[in-house]
Amino acid sequence: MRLAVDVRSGLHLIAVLLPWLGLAFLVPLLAALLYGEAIWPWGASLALTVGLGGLLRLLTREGRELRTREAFLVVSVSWLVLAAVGALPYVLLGALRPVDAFFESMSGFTTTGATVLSDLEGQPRSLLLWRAMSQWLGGMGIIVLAIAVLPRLAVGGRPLMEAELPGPEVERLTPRIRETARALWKVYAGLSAAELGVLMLTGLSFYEALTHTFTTLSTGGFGTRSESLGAFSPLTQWAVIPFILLGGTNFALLYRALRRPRRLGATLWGDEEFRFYVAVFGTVTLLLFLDLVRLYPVEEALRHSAFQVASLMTTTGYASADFDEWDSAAKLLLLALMFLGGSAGSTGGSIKLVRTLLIFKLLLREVRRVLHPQAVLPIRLGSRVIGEEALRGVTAFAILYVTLFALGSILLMLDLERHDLDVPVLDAVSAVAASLGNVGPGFGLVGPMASYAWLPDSSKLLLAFLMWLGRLEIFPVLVLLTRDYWRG
Amino acid sequence: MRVVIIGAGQVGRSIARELQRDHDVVVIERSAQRLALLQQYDVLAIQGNGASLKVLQEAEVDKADLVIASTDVDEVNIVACAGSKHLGAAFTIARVHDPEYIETWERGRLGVDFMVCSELLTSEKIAQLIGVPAAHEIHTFVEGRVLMVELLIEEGSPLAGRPLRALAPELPPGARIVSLIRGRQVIIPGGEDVIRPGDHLVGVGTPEAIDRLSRRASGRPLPQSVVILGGGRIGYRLALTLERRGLRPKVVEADPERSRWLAEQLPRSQVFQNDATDLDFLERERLGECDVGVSVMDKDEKNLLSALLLKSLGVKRVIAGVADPDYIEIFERVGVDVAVSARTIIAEEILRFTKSRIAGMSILEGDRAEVLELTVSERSPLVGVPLKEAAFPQGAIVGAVVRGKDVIIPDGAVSLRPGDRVIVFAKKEAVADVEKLL
Repeated sequence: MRLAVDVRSGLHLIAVLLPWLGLAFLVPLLAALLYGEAIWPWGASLALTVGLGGLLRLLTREGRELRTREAFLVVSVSWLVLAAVGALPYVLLGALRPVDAFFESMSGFTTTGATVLSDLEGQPRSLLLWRAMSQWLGGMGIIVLAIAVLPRLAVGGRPLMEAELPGPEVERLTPRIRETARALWKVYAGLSAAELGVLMLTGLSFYEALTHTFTTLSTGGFGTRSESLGAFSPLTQWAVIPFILLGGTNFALLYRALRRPRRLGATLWGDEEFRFYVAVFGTVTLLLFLDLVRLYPVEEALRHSAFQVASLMTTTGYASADFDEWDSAAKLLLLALMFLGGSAGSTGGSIKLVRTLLIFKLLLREVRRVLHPQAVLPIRLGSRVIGEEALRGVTAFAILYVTLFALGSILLMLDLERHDLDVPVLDAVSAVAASLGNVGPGFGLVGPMASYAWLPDSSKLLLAFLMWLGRLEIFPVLVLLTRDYWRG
Repeated sequence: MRVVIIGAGQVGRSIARELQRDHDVVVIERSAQRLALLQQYDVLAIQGNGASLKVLQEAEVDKADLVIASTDVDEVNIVACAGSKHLGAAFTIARVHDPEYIETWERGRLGVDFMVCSELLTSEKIAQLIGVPAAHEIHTFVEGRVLMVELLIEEGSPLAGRPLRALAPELPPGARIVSLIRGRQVIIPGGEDVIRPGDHLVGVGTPEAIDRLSRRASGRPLPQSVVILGGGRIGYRLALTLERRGLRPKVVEADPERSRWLAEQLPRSQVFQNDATDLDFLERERLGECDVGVSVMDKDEKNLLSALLLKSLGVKRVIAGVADPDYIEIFERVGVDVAVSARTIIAEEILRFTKSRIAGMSILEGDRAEVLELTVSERSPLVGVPLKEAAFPQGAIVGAVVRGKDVIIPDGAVSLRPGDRVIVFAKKEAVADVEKLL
């Protein structure tokens, strides 16, 4: 049987990618040197990764042109390989068993932030740096994936999310993937440098400022302390909020806005998804504040509500306080936020704001259609009309997402029962929502101050699978599971 | 004057009929049948394709003072004009259906000196009938930053019957009344002059101010709700004009693809995809409650039927488009308030233009006045002197001064500087003086 997919040339691209990942191990290696920690695991990881890349390169050949089919394969498999290779140091350092290491590494590269590491303060600094860095690298990959790759694969109504063009005077984002990536990474790196400086000004050490910078803009959520951001001063927490929000903003939009600094506000505000983002953030923060103000003094209530709304809405997963101790209303609100996600083209996961916004509009249209059956009602995003085809993709994506969430919850519950673990429904459901949406912590047993370490291996693998699925916007992975994909 | 008309359809024929008395008229037409209809007029008829160089040479367009291309095919008209211009025709007019060609022409000229679009004119005419003040003539200066309009003051206009001095505070800042044209008389108004109904008011100012001035001049209030049956070019353009005036018209179009296109292009309109003669639909959407109904579909009979249907449902005023000018009277007799024929409108426009044509400058009612765009030279004796003290020629007035990025509507205290671009309205006899002075 002949495969319809050119697997070898697809894998070749991953072989090209691996040595670069190997080089990334140099950073924790340097840190290990500096802090006097074990160096050999980093050297070994580097060698293994480069070696694996070389081997894969020998076994594959360069394809002439990457077609859509191979692109699905490359995108899906590359995250899997990244997670596997990134897990090496955890194992080599003896910090985690292989399954746990894979879970932790997948959680890193998908910028999820769910952890199985306990006693963070006791771990080698080089390892925590690598853990944070995996999220930063994952974020870089996702920006390019979201802006340059997924639109071409027409995933979930994606073409509509291509850089919106408010007027003829704005140039299109550079058309070639390589240049687009470079432009967006400039923004990513620039904002990272800014956050590093700001965090150090608020009193963090270089090491802690760097690790948290790595995990803020990537909406990852890994940290260096068991209490997450709760371990830092209120000033630091306030300072982090805008950067979390930036991480959840469309990087293509940020790029355009930053190119014309004098019209920065106008460019941002001209984007309907951004306005929706601000409106949702403001409204939910206010709601949560009204609830929390009975628990905390005013400043603290405001800080925790703004922080937690930003953190969970953008699927970062930082905690400024143990939100697991809040009342059910607050928790339910936060659970709902996990389904919104960041903007399209951001590092945030989940359904994405633009899809939610379009689904609201679709529902509103159905209501209007009851009153005016003959009315022709195109749906607009800003001034742009969104085609029915794209809307269908958006609807399908949302339904698929919720279905996977329900299925995942049932599977997780079954698996936990199998191991005689009696877990409250909210905890299990939040674990699934937080994994599929790449958020990180959930509630109760998987709450912000707890960890996923107690879960059975099968459950961990299920959740890691959901992270992978959610990060790649479901379709690229799902396509691989169909017969048509392989047979053509 | 020698006039060559290309295309002897209804428009071409009615222009030929009007011009034959005072001018030498040549008509080029492909169809022998249509040519035969011209026998009753004093014109030279040539059979052939008006876009062909040979035929144009035969018609001696090189000696023509005016070439009017008004076949049914836009492209033929443009090619015919370009060809004529190339052969040496003094002035060419092309009629088009598609308003997009106007935009192309404004950039590219294409050998066409003047382009008229019947659909555009018709939608403007209907807009005017509905109550949107339509300017009689609009000219742009200094890359569109200064506009000049000629507005007809109707009975009931709030500007009528009062001296300019009393009106001054009510006028939008950024616009200025530079002249009143009353019959054959061109008046450069002072504070004591009174605007009368029937006058043509000439205003100069920024585009926004001119828009407000136009609205101020119109006596009629805008209707609250308008329903347009038929989303063809006229219906679309009309909806667009109404949208720009802040209205939210309802548009009914039967074709699914066209209605989708309309809905996408007209964000503020409500577009329905339905047959305009579907009584159930008209009642369900309560279209009878609209103030004005316009039916501009492509079949005259359908326009009549649906216009009457709307009227019977309670629409106060119905306007219907007709292709055949002969139907106008019939339509209006059976109950349509106003019937509008695109062919009549385009023929009138071409004739009006023909009668007062000068290239390159604005023409206001024949040759009696001109609007000049001039740059103030360093040697001008006017530099540095406040305008009210300056010896500015009688019969001329400065409408606007463009200085760098600013558009200044001058009062007497403003003085000119070298490099200023000024828009001057001048009576014919003052033109030479003004040019000398600046």
